[in-house]
Amino acid sequence: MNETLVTLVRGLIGFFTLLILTRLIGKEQISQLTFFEYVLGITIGSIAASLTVDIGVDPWPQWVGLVTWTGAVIALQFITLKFRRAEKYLNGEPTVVIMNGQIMDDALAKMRLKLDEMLQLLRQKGVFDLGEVEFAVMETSGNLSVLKKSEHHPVTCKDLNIPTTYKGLGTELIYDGIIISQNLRQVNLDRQWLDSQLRKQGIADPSEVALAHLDTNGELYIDKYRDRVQNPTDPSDYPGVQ
Amino acid sequence: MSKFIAYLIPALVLTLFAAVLLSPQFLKEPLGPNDDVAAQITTLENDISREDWTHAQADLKTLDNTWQRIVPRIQFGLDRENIDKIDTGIAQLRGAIAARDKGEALVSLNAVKKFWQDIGR
Repeated sequence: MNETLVTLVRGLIGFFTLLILTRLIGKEQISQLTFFEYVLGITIGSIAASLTVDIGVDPWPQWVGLVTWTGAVIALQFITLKFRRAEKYLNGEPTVVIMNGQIMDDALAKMRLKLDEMLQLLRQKGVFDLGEVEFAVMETSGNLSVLKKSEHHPVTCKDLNIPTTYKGLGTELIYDGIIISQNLRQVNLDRQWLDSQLRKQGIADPSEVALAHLDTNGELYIDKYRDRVQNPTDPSDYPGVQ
Repeated sequence: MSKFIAYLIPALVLTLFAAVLLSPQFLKEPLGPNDDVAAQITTLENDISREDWTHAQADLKTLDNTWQRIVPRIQFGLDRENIDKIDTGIAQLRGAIAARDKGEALVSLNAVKKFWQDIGR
């Protein structure tokens, strides 16, 4: 048995299986995962690692295990998406831990969350004074959502009756030196317009541009490959390789 | 890329992986002449039963060569332990035949036979 070759092949099988299966699971961010989903992720990763390096074990059952766990996650996602009651039952519900400025001690005890831990979560949300909090809700993901009392809300443009302009999503027109024609057509512009804009900034060819981004106000941001910063700030305190 | 192709590629890749991992089931079967381990085990069993040690030695060599030729094509879907067991069984068999020990030779041969049958199960 050629162990190197077997590990290499098994590694590729594990890697691409994991890639495909995690794409199937979806786009949930780490911060949105419930504790159970977090543990599921670790288990699936651990099976994939074992499939790769544990050549003393038959790989087929491990691969089937990997697919089974992912299938179970997808099935659970489908059930919680379709049936609200099942979602509440399986994922739990958000818990109010501060209501009208009062700490709900029973709710904290039920979640086995210490007061110190809740204060820490509040500080992480930028709240250092409990008196500012109207409501705090512990989400199923373990994140704390905080609603401050209205007098502590930051002033917005609306409060001051300041008119604002629409700010939508910008469009990338050049990426990595290549013009994205589809995006150019989407914003009803053409190559001539883009070329003229580039010439205005002294750029002869789009290949000199790393990124060109058009915002909804029609302003074009261009980043060239050749940076013209004379004295770049170096935040490092390590001299590096001379 | 059309939605069909976007789904087809991962489906094909997963099918290919499953085929590689299950390949010992099919690739252990003879693919040409002198490639039939099961038949060679039976021949060797007859040699040992008849205590025909000269033929047994030659047939064991053939069996070992065939096994060494098959290992590279089935190794990706097999655990190392299974391969090691057959290697060890063949080594024990070699010793038993050299010592002309019928009992020990049959025990080792039957162990090899069982490990061979377990491949791809």
